Amino acid sequence: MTAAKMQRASVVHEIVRSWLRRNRRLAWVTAGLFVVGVVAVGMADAGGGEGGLAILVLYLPASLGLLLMSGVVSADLDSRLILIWYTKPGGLGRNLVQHYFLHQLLIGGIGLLSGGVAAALALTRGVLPADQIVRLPALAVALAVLPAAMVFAFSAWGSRRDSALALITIVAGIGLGGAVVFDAGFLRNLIMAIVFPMDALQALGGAGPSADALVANAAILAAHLVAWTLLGVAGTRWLERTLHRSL
Amino acid sequence: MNLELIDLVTGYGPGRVVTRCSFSLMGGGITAVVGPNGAGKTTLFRTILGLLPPLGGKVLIDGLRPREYVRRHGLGYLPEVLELPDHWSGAGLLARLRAAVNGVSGTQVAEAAERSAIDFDLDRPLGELSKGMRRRVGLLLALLPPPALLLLDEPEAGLDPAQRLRVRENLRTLADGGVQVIVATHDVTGIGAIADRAFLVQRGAATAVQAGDLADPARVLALFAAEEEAS
Repeated sequence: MTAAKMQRASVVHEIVRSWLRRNRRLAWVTAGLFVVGVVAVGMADAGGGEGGLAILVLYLPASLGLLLMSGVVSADLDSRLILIWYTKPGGLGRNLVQHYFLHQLLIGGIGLLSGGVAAALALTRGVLPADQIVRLPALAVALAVLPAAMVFAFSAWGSRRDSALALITIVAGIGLGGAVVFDAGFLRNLIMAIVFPMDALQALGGAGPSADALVANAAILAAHLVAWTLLGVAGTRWLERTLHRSL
Repeated sequence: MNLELIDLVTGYGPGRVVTRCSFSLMGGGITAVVGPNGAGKTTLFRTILGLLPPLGGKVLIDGLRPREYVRRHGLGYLPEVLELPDHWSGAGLLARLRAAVNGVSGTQVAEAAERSAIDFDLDRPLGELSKGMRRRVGLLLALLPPPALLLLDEPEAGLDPAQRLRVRENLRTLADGGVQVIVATHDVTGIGAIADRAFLVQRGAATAVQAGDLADPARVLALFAAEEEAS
């Protein structure tokens, strides 16, 4: 491992430690949720299989994405630590974006772990068809990193309520998607893809999509991730230019 | 390192000009920027950092605009107010800095820790540290990677007398090693004792004064009064 990679691994470790220090109770709740999910899938015979999978693949990764990314930029602004990063070679934007990607690495890793455990349990308990089970880890990763990218975007534009805004946007996006006014058509698909691509996520996790449909839906998810990440990057550039007004 | 402030006028818009000044600093040394609260010391620093665009004149660091210089070479800065996050540790922030800035070696970290008088466990959460300890963590972060220009805004705030003396000694060592250290402070007699040059910022102007005068409280009061009268 190179020195730079060792430093990045060390930062990921420190992100976990600092988050656990700040959110001790929430960490216990999350661990409890994981255990409940595992137990529920284990009790598939009693009808808890799908509920347990929803916890491990949907609720746990999505909530961790929202919570772990919270304050990724705005906390540095509040503490004025951002002034220290501004003065380092390479510029503020690079530092903040790197910090975001290290968070995403961690969040994606947790999503993969949760989705992997769900897939392994589902396979042993026969909860879902095998072709659906193999897509569970990817689904969990997507459900973790997409909300996290939205939190980053709100945080980079200076919002202290980044997680709440991301959650509201997701709920609003799902609501808009279901609204009659946008029933079917290009506009509805575009709004869903930008705000929150629930259709693509459902297709990814659902039964029997064709290979073409899988690729198309994966592309929509990737586009959503890139779009919100770029929005966040633009926010860090704006923040750098207007830093004296934010302090 | 060559810092030039040429007919600089800075502040937060017309009618809110805080500082006017012209001076040039070359090579290593300690420069004290002193003045009462609200005189414009922090505003001057923010302009040198490139955070605040000048209203007139210009700032050049090695011939570059501040923002360009900072982006290429970086500099050291310790803000007056730095509320380090309670749940992070000094070691964590150091890891973050080293991940973002290439080529910060273990030797440089050890040297910077010595210069910032770090004599406690950096692995402890910052929320458990005293104000003085947190201030020294801030100084440690400012010293990495080793800068040619170091701006310190009230660096001794929260430090006990022994730590102040240690930090002053270390600033002297840095300056003798070629670093230009600019210190903004209310505590004129303390930093005055070690400064090579000094500027008094008062009533919207920065005036050069004899650094030696800052070591004498009576002389400092006379300087402040003279500036007040002149303006």
